[in-house]
Amino acid sequence: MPDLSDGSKRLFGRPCLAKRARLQIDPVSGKPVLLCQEAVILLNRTGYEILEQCDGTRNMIEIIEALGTRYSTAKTTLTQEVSEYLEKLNQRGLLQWI
Amino acid sequence: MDLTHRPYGLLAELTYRCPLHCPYCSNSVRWEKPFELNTLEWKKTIQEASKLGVLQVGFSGGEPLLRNDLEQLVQVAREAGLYTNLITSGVGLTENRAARLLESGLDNVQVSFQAAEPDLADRIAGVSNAHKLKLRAAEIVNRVGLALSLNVVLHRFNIDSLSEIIAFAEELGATRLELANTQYYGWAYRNRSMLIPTRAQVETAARIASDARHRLAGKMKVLYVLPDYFANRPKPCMNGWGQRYFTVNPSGFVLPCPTAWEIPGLRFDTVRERSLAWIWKMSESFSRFRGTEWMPDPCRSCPQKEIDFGGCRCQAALLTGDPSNTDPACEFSPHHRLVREAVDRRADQPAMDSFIYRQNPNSPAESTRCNG
Repeated sequence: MPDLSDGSKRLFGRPCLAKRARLQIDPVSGKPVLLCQEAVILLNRTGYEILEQCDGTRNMIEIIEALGTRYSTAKTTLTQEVSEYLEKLNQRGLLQWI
Repeated sequence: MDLTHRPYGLLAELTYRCPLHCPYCSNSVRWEKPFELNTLEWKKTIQEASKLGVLQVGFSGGEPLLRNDLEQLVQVAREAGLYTNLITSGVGLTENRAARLLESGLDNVQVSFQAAEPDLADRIAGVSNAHKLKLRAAEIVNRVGLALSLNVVLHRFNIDSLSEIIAFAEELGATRLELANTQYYGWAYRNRSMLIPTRAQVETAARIASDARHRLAGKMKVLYVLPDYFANRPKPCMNGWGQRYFTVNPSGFVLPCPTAWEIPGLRFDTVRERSLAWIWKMSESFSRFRGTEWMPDPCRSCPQKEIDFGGCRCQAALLTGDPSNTDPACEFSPHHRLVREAVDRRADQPAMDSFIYRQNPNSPAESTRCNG
């Protein structure tokens, strides 16, 4: 379990792709990918739109605000889904909160 | 092009020259005098790789920092949209150079360490003071703001200090730690009886690595590469022959795996004579073990054949003399006893001064002794 400081970071911090990860459009397929040393992660459009926001300048509220204009999903559901997605990437060492 | 049948990764072996002499180096023991590709040839190779679908390039060697055109090659790769990783001993990295590499678009630096303890590390590398230079390199990588990852090859002489190695990587601020059990090809095969650990050592190490992976999730990615000599099933080598990756060696030969040069009877093509696209799609070497058609039994009738692809062709060739045999690491291989015996018959009291140290191409000495 993340300790309190990790928890507050996730609530109030700004998510940012790790230095070792890079978001990119695959020139061959035209689809978005997340690249790191050990993997090529194929992203869907939603994944790409979330990660585009994770440049360390926006907090979670601002990210949900930006995505909310594009998706009709309820904000609480959207927040939960985005949080889970970012948490998974954090576990793989590809994203952190600053 | 079909997404499932394109290469994703290029390992660019820029030179075989190396300041280290690690006795487990996977570089070929049969290399001929390399006539290294020049800057233009590498640039063209990288651009062709990108057109073929490659998304990641690892600059390796030998020691890639010995090429003074490294920054140019990183830049070309980055301009082509590739993820760029530098696989280095760290020896020779200056702050100036690291800053230039960052500016050229380098994404990640992987520094190899031989152990956490300096004297042991230098004895394994066969060079005095190497560990200190590596520490300095790791600090430089952090200071200029590049992502740092560490690679430690595990064997009988350092596997017992795995906890110290993990703590050491944490302290250095690595974002990723690759703990790779020795694979017995190249120089490692020559030193196999001394390098091979005991089953108990391997099991303890696996537990320690697994604990660390959970404990450090989100802070440092810990990757533990299982030793196939201690497994019942072979590793899915390269994710299948000619499926995802290829290597270009210093002389421009294109190999389905970094150690494929060792396979007798296989003819390889070079980027000096053919396009990468032709080599990937049409060459005899890449077609030879692609897919499952080439497989003999027990692989042919095995439900695992699409999972492990029959294991490693280089290992089959090295241990049985025939690259189309089932990898002897598989318990169903008729040659499986060769792997079991290698574990059972390891040296009783191995001493590091009897290592056959890796030599550089054209080196007159049969073996380089540790001067540390």
